[in-house]
Amino acid sequence: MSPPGSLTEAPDEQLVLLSKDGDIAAFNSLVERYQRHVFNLCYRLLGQREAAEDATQETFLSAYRAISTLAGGSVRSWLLRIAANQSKDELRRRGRKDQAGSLDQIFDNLGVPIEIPDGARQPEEIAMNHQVSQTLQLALQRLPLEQREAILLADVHGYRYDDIATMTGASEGTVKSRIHRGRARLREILSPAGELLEPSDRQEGQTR
Amino acid sequence: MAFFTVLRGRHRWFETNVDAFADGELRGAELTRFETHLASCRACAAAVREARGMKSLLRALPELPVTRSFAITESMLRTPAPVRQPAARGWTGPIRAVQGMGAAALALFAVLVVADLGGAGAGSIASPDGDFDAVPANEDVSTTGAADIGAPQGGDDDAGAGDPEIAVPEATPGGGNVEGAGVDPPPPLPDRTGGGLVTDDRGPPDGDDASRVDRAHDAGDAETALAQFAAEDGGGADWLRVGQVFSAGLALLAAAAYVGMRRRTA
Repeated sequence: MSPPGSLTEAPDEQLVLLSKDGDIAAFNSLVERYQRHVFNLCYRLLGQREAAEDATQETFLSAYRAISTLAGGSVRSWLLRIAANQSKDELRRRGRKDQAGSLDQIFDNLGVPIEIPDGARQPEEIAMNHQVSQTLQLALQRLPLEQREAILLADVHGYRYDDIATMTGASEGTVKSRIHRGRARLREILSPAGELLEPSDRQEGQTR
Repeated sequence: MAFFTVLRGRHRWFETNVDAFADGELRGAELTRFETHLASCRACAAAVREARGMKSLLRALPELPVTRSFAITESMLRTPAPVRQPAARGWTGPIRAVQGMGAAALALFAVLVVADLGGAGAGSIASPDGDFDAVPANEDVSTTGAADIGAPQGGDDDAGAGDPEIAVPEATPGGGNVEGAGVDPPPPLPDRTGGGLVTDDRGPPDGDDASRVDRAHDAGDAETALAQFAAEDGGGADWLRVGQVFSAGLALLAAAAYVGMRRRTA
């Protein structure tokens, strides 16, 4: 076994090789490296912290048991693929009905309207307070799971359509359609929020 | 109106590719086509801005902090892995099942239609000129028909006018072995009571009227058999119709389910 200190900087390929030999410490270095990404995907898919934590733990357990099947490629993509499947299993266990946010919840959550930013603005320029992110999360919960998954992988995790197709087992055309419909649906859900106030009442970057 | 319908149809390609363009996923000829269109379509230009805006909003979602470690331990690994439900990814499995069901229903429908057409072309089994042509024309029995059953020739009451065994046609399918002078027995009828072919166990009656009785018996059995064949033929056709309607309905149901599933997953 390798000394723990050297593992934190080891490249993914080396950690995977050690993990295949049964080195749990090496695998846990991968866990430390990617658990934030895995947890966030699970949370955005499931909408609940407790469920997301269960799915995250199951993801890493499954990944360790299946590490021998990993033959090159991105470890992060591989883990996120497992995470998406585990999240779907978690949804099945808990019942999908619990996950959809109601429109009332969305409107109750609004302190400020969600203004969909102009396309030229960078994400870091967009002020997002807790309430806005909550509202956006509730809106995401109202999407069908497949659309939600495709949008999160594309927009939050930055994957291209062909990678998303591989990760989800769908065709590129289906991925494109899911993203198109998912974003359109999000706009529909969020647009009444903007219409609640007069245009003059809307202020850019308003925070609470 | 048709012009605008066509126009709307052509524009649909651009509408469905707005997000792909905004994400930089279009290539080659598709990219050129979209860019050319964008130069003159304000609606699509606005849609592209909206798509990029939504993308920026989602990318700005804050990353949630992890409040515990998800490192695995030996004891966790000793717990058996949960059996993952053998479901297909998303709707792929159900969609394929529906496709299979629809294909099977269409195949069944086609087979039933062919069977129906084949049965109609072969002619009616219940034709009175079928198996019963074996009754020679010069035999009185060919003209006796049902009306003469129970009214034996020569007015001999002993011929069984009131004898239910002889005068009354059999209620059950039967009349297999018919004895009579020069008469070919009709083919045995299938036994619906679950046994094998039913044969006539009564045997020839005694006495001079045996031939007349036999002829009356033949006529009764012939008529019974005729009625049975007609019923069978009609019943068979009915079942074909029912099967056709059922399989067509099943195919339509599968098609509707398929369309609904594709819309939901797309």
